[in-house]
Amino acid sequence: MESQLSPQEAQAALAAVDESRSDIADRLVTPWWYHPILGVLVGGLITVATIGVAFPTLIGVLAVYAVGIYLLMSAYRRKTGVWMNGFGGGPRARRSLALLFAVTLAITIAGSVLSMGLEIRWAALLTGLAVALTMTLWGRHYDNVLRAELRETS
Amino acid sequence: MIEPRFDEIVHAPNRLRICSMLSATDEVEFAALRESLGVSDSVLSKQLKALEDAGYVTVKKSPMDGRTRTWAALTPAGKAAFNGHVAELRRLAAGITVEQPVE
Repeated sequence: MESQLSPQEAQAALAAVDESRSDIADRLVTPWWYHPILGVLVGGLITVATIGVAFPTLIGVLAVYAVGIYLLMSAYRRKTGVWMNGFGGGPRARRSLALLFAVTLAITIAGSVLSMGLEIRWAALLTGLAVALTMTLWGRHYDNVLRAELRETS
Repeated sequence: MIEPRFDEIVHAPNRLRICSMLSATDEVEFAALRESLGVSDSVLSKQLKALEDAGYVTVKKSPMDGRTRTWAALTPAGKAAFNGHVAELRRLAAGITVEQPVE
């Protein structure tokens, strides 16, 4: 469909698009408790997994983890009125998330080798703690990248 | 490659802003959209209905804290229409910088 818009009108419409994206970026202010709780949930799961518990116990822990994640995400949605899954951001945000995944995986593998391979059991706790801290600190960085990308021109 | 395509449904000012916000996220709650647009419930409902009828937006209700909240999201068709429309706006806006030849 052909439009009769002048260049000025098109620019004004693009400015409205940018302004709206900026509005939504302002709403994506993650509550302070979100990343620490997410870190504890993931770190706890990884501690249990690397300590080498029985399979039924692991299933139980997974169920608690799933309920915890659901409640955390529901609280986030209620608080902000916006939802965005981790892979919905721009290229820099997606790269940051991929790097976080790689670092978490590396920590988990190292922890598993120490805990289950070399039977240094306390390493499992250290692994979970390292993952929880990494997720908490990285989460804030990820939010900043995400918001910055949303504010950039459309 | 996004094909520039003017879309009358997307272009209406409030609908353009709604699509802009939804395109940047997965879902936005009705109250958040209303506050950002600064419009009444009925105006927002009407605009969302127009986008929903065009197949550009899905609207779903989910219970939270004992009350129902309404969430809106862009459909794949809505994303394609919005991206095409923005590409067309960019193409049209680029004309503003074209200098007129000196006679």
